[in-house]
Amino acid sequence: MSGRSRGAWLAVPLSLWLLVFLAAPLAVVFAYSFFRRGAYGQVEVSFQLGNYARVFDPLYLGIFWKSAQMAVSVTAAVFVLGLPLALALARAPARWRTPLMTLLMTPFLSNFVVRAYAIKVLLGIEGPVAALAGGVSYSDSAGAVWLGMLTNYLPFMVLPLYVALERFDFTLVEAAKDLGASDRLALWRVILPGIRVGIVSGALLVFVPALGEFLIPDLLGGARTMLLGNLVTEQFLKARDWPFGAALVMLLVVTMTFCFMGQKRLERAEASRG
Amino acid sequence: MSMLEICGLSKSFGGLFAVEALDLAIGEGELWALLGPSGCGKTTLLRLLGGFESPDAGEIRLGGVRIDHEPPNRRACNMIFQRYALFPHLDVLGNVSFGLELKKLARAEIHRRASEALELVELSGFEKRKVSSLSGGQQQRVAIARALVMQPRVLLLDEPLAALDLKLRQKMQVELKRLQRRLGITFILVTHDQEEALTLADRICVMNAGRIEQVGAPETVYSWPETSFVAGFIGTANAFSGTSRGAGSAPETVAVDCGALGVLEVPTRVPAQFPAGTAVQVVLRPEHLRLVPEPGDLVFQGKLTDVLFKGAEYELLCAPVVAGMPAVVVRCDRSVAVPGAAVTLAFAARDARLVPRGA
Repeated sequence: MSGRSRGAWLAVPLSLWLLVFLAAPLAVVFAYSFFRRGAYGQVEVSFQLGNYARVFDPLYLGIFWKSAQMAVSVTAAVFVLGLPLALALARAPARWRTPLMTLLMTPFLSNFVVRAYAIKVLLGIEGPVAALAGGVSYSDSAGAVWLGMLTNYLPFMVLPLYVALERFDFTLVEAAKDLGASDRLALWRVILPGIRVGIVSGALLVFVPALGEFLIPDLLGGARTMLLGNLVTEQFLKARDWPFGAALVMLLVVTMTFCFMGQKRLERAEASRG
Repeated sequence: MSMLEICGLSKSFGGLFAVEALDLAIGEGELWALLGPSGCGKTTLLRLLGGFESPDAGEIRLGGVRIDHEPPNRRACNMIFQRYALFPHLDVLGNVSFGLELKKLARAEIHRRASEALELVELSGFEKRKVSSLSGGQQQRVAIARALVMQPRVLLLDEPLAALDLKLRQKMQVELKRLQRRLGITFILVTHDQEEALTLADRICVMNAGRIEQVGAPETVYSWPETSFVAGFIGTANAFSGTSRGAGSAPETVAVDCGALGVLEVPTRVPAQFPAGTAVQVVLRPEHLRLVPEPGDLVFQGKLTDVLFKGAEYELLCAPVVAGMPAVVVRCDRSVAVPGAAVTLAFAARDARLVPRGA
């Protein structure tokens, strides 16, 4: 057996796993998206594009648009907050880095629901924010959802940025300053282009799950905040309209696929640059 | 007044002096080499000049104006970094015009000056090339063009040739020297390679442990070392211990009692530095030791231990028979004997040099 085919065998377990638990269910969902909901919520096998037509209903497009806005603004915010943090981590003395990274990861040691409820209490009518804001509760709002996503997704942005910055050659910043750049210009013209790949992976790691997020809006948004993820869960769990839910899922899958294709293109361009 | 003046400059890291109370005056259009072993403070001094470190004490004046607390982007100095630090996301032209774009010059002006700089380093036609596709020597040229395009008063070069292989290094040495002469800009380069310093520089500043050991023209530093460190670091030195007996019979000489070797009258430029009783070292370059004595030579016996072929010449390592005398290196144009043979070694006292011992 040649070395090459032996290497290929190593990929079999994971390929099987992906086939059974990702590709197959996705195929089922794809098939469902052409089916029809029966009068009692049962699924009737058929082939029709009605579910896709419904996706473009202004009501649902509006929800998609709101979700995209939320995901984009969360991604932008975690980038703005995460970049200084990642810079500080990457520039910290080596013996400080591991403890600081551990600190960044500690939230994951607690249950997500507990953390969500902590935010709820913090923003709630009896919480400190309300006390400062004169008795106004900010829980059960789009703002609370945004804040929840922010805290939850921050590490996903910081990690790829940190990895990129750790590999970044900071003498380039000195060179830029030597040529007349201020700190701000050195950041814009040298650091950010230099860690592009890290920025894009961080952005995708946040944007993609944020676009489909349903748990955070469920816990923190109250009944007022309906995002794409909630709409999908609603179709499957409450409205019992699996075919329409499947069509919505396909919309998400296609959006995300485009995102990842964009990332791969950038990475290839970066690799060819050496 | 010198263009660049350094006064009492100190910088320490974690309680250890990297540069200690340094004074130096550098003239317009000179090519200086800061020479010393790694950790001697030469790179720290360069970074202090460039503005990448701020001094704990002392002053740096450029054209009479204090610059020691100015950030690097406000100094008329530009730096060539050791590994060039070219921007990988920009092409050659992008790298060279980086500083000009920050100055917000007109497009045409930027293009003209960048093209001129690239022409100067013979890289015309490489404008659109990626920097990663260039060879080490070409990257070096881009780095030079990128710095020169800023029209600095002082160009700082941190081990500029260390990353190049020998042949290319020798070629770039000549080019750097020509470039400097043509532009008339002050170059200050850091190197640990004594040959590079001797070849390139108008003035050499030999540093050790954060302090200046000697400053002078390459010929002077080589021919008249002032400390045993300089004698040992630049070129090869055969050193014998001795004790001064005060001024010799000829002017500018000192009589030195070298024990078994006898009393030598060794020339020095500062006889007053070696009053009678001073512990001294007598330093001899390998090219001043010969195997065939000439009239008036001092002669001693030795045993040949190794013969090293160096291409144009041979280096002979000999162990003197006299007890307590260190091994010596002799340079000659042919291999005269096989290892183990007894040899006669001779030198003229006028070729020897004196440095203080111990310090």
